[in-house]
Amino acid sequence: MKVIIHDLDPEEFLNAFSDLQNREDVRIIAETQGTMKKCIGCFGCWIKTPAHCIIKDSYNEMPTQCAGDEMIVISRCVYGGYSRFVKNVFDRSIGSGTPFFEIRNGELKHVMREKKGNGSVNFSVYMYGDTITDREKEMMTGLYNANKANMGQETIGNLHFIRDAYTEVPL
Amino acid sequence: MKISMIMGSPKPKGSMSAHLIEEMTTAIGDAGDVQVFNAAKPERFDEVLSCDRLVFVYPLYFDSLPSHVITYLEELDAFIKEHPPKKKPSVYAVCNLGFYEGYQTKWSLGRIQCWADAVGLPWKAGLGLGAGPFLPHLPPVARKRTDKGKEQFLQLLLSDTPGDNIYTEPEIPKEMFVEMGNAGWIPKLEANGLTVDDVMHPKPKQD
Repeated sequence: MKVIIHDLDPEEFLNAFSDLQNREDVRIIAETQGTMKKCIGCFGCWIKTPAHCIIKDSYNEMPTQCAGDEMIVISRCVYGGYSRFVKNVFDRSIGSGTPFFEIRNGELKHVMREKKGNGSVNFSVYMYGDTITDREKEMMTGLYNANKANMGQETIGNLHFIRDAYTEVPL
Repeated sequence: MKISMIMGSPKPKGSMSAHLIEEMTTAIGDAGDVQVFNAAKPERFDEVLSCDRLVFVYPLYFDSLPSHVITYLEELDAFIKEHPPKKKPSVYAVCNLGFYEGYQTKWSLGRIQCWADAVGLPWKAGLGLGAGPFLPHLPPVARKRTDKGKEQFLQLLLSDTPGDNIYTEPEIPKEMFVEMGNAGWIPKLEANGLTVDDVMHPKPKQD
């Protein structure tokens, strides 16, 4: 499954990438069902309904919806990180992992559940913007590498800084 | 000296960020007049900005800022550009995380620095507190490094001095911290009638 998470206008995105519509092997996560409520840090997705967010809106299945062997993230670069919506998708998907700690490569991380196949995830991130500063690139690169490390040792992929998502993301 | 603290935890009560704000307010005492604002309510920006120091206090979510803090920063950014403040408060940030290593907050503190760059306010320093939510439950002997880090940070804050970010961890072995943290989840799961196996092998969604 290819999972695409983006913060672009949902309709414009589908018009631009019409080949992605109605595909069983592609899941697109965008703000299509009204404003996404914020994660409230309740840990319900760990200790009450594991892998399911308890917030009652249309985005409460992010922990399972974000799972795929390929994840493509398209986000406006905001102060050296993801935009509000994309970050909220990540915040609302923490139930995809577990609350338990382990030490991986000397650092604390969350214990991951067993993944299907070889466990490898291709995690590609495209950060768009006209005026991304060097400091923002440094912070985003650190964030991307931290995300990768948290997603598991088998995670591969690359981070890209671009100007225009519609012409520069190879979908 | 007026200090605006922005509480960045989404929890309405009992958050570590609120605890840290209380601690800092007590430590500041008569040296400053602290006013607390909540990032979940992006409003009263003129009051927020009528200060000498602006301090963001938040938990680390998924290696970065909680999403509602990003919203807050963007709205405050827009307000500043529309209503440039007469004085430019110095910007500081305090981030706590559940993991052991304080340095894992680096990329989130950097985002606050990038925000300060974007709005033209002077960035001064950040504090990254490893094992944040566990700190109040640790004996003082295990909090020496953390307490020292907090003290150094407050010195930078009160003297309006720039400095390198400060990262701290408790004085307990990392392996012991892992055991303590993992054991702490068991009663919480049991209270909901769940086991470790339920977490490791969750049931599909029930319609």
